[in-house]
Amino acid sequence: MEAKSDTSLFIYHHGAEIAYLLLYVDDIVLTASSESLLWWIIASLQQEFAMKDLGALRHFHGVTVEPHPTGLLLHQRQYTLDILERDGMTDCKPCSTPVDTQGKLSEAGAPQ
Amino acid sequence: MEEEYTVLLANQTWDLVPRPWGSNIVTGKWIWTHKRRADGTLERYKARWVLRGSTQRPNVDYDETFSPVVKPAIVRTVLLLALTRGWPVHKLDVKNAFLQGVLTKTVYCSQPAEFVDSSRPDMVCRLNKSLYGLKQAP
Repeated sequence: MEAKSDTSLFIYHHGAEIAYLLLYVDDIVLTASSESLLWWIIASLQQEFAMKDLGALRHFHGVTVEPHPTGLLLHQRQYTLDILERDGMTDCKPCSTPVDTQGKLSEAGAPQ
Repeated sequence: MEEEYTVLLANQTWDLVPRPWGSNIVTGKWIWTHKRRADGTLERYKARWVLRGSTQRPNVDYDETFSPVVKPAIVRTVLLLALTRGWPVHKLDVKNAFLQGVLTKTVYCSQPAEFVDSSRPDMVCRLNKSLYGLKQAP
């Protein structure tokens, strides 16, 4: 059902219908060109193995996905808070760290 | 712990076999974690039977290791495509993902502590499915 292009990206192509499936160990992000195709794929996968549909994507891989009027906001606020909590640093005083906020992306290579 | 053991049995994770001569028996142990709700209160304890992958021998118990890692750029690209086309994006969670894979190499491990079959205590588990901690675990 899925064609391979990246080791963790699977693409389904049938006529005008397209679906992309990202697989990270046991986490799946699925998007499809129509609701019906989405449900059909979820149902097919559930026949193969036990799987839970967690609804619209909110978190993936430590990244929070938040709908925004102009798009999607991807941030790691919760991930950062979890780290602070784990290390007992939630009450620590914040301190500004100088960092380049004017960085420009170029075609040659994006800063990682 | 009972629950985890029940799932392991239901998945036919292993067959109990007499200890084979000269073969490596991978050892394991129970790992306990606390599952907390979003507000931090304790929901339940979770037990997991994990194998000590470091007691596996290369070429005998496993050949190649491979980590399926999704590149952040790919995630953003897919999200962007879905967003611009107004597609629904869903998150799905595979239950007991590690138990879904089928092993190609024969791996033996000891019976889970405290769940040793009293009628066959000398037998070992011949794994059919991958387990946590194994080199073959995804």
